[in-house]
Amino acid sequence: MASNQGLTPKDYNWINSKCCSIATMEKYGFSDRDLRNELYVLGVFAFRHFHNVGMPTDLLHPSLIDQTESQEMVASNQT
Amino acid sequence: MKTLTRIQGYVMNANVFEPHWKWGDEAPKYELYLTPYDSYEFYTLEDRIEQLKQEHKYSKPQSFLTLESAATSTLTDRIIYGTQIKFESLLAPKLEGNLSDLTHDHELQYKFVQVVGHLQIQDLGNCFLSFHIVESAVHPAEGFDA
Repeated sequence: MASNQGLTPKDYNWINSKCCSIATMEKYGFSDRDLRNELYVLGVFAFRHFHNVGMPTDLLHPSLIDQTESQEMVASNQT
Repeated sequence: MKTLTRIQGYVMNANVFEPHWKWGDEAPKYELYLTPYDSYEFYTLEDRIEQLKQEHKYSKPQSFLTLESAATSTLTDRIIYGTQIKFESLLAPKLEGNLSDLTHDHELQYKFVQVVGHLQIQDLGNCFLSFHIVESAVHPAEGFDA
């Protein structure tokens, strides 16, 4: 049975790029606060994209019922 | 094609107050390396570069190129370096917001900013990103653990 849950190859690319960026930031000596912020974004991205709802309008409200940032982004992510 | 770009991210390195003079350059350049907040920026930029190159190719009169000269005339783009995006300009960019008080390049490092510039293509067909404004920005996840 087809499911609309799960990460797409494009999502994986985004996550891979973000993981590399965060590691580079750590190497450059960014503060723990900056690294935490980025890791939070990574978590929200993975959670929301797994459930196919895109990023929330307000990143501080990541629950699935919160509005999606842009329908375009979700649509482009599905292609 | 719209060439305006606005990219938010962390400043990794900057030569904004003291332009960088590299071997082979005709003039000193202002440079800024940014790690974008949204990793989609890399793919968006790649698509736009491809589109700009296509437009550039068809806007030029056709000329005969041997296979050898076609291969040697391609220069690499100077935009994506690993996890960073490079901006460069011959004119000093304007610093806005909280950044307007800064006086040294090292003060810009680690700052979360928005850079406004243009995607540009040179005669030989390689692309680069110019930048004109660097302004302070608030990270969208700021305060999530407060």
